[in-house]
Amino acid sequence: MSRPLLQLADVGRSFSGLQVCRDIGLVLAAGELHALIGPNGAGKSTVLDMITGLTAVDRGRILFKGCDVTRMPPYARARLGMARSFQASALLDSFTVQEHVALAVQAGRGSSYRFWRRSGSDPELQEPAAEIVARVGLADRAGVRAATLAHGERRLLEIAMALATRPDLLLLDEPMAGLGPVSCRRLAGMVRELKAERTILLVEHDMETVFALADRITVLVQGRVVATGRPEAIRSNRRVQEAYLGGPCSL
Amino acid sequence: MTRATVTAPGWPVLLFAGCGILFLLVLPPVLELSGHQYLLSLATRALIYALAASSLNLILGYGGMVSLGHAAFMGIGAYVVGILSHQAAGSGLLSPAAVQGAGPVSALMAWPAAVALAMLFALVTGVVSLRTRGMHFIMITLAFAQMVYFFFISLESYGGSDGMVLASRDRLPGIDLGDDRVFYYLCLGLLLLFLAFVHRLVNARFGRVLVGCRENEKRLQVLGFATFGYRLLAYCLAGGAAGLAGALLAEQGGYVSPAMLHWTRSGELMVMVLLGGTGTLAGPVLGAFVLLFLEEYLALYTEHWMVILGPVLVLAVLFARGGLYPMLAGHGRER
Repeated sequence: MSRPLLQLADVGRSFSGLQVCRDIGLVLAAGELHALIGPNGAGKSTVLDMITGLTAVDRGRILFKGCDVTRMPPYARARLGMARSFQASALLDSFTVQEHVALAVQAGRGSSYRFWRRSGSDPELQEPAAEIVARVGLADRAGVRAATLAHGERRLLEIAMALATRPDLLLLDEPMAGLGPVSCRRLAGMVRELKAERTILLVEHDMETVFALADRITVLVQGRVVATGRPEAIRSNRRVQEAYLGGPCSL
Repeated sequence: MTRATVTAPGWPVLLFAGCGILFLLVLPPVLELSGHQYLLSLATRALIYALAASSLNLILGYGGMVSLGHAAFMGIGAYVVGILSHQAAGSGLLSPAAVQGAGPVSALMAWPAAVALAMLFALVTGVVSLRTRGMHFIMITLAFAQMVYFFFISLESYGGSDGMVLASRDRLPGIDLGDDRVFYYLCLGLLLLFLAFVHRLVNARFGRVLVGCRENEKRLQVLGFATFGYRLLAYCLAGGAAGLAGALLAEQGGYVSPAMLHWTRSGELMVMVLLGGTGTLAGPVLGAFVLLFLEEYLALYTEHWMVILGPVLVLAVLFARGGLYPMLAGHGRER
């Protein structure tokens, strides 16, 4: 296997004395879909925060594309090629769907210190944006403001924004949380499609999706990695069953 | 297919803008014909405050940076004009013609200097204050403004707390600044230029990032924007425009004093923006006119006009949510 795309080495973080994550080791090979699972409060979102730079790490190192990004601000990491969707959708309420995606496209296209030309009629931004909006199935909602979107549509928009920066690494934070079965299936289909194009770190509660899609799975319990491996191995791992489900059983 | 995403301004907006500009264009002759010339200086002052309020709106309305120190930029601009004029008068460079009326200092020198110094002050204070958020940002901008306020009070050679009277307005080649009507139209021109600039700015890539920061700065950072630089530049641009407004105000009134940059002035500017409509182009202009004319007229009836103005403002904020302009133009936040 070639150089890993992302590598976390003994990463730890504590909040006011409480160790939320400790000795996290995680290696993502280029092209794989890696799922991060664990019960509530296991520190999954904190791991994503540390990877994107929203939370500083206390210990350990984070390497992305062979670069030490441990102390890099979030925007610098994003420019290196990572993008993230948020669990609690973090949208810009006065922006329309299309404007969100255009802004994300803009982020990946050099300097935004441009003061005169209307971005709304700039094909360099709007055409790729429209394409991505259509791809996630929001074309007929392109002109709608985020504040009035339904929950499922917000999740789709989150993914559209993450895609628009053309990242090498896609971090998806519970994209299916709170979705009905239909939207869930649709999103799972989309993630499956994306899997062929990009390296993905997927945090998800929906086990059916995780075990169907993931190449490898890392299980996090109380801030520690208890197991990493292929889905079959994880399914039969005693420690995972005990920690995750409180006793031996079948996942 | 690409959709029209930045919605073209609807007809109420265009109508409002057209009527507003027409009104401001015909105001001087109308005032003259109806024998209300004395109101021209008030209208000019309203234009200048509209410029200052619009500059505050750039950072407050579009950028989400609630600054309570905006009068400091105005004060710096005003003092640049005042000090240059004072120096020229005292240095013996004054030509006899200058004593007769035409000011000794070229506005082409004084006004850019006012803008530059205000921008420099914005840059230095912005680097510090933009690292804070919310209430802390309000307090730190207020603190910087009060520092400038006390600095000018302690400048005894330039009038201290009394301020100083300027000999005359500066000179501008081809334009007689001493003529009140000409000066009014110059202020109007500068205001419209600034509004056009802001309009382009907020719809351009820079503005999308700025407005995005207002909504969710963290999100923009994760997208890959180094947001600090964008906010700092907007802060400097707003400071520069407020500096120009201060210079104009000094020219218009013929005097400068620390009272121009007392924190209550910053509060007034904020009221103009909130009253007119934050994050709208025309809102702050409307707010400036309404506030200044209300003050003027209420003061005619009672010296306790603030007792009336206060509740009026409270009612306006309560019932015209988003400001007077969105209410009148019948729509929400425009960009």
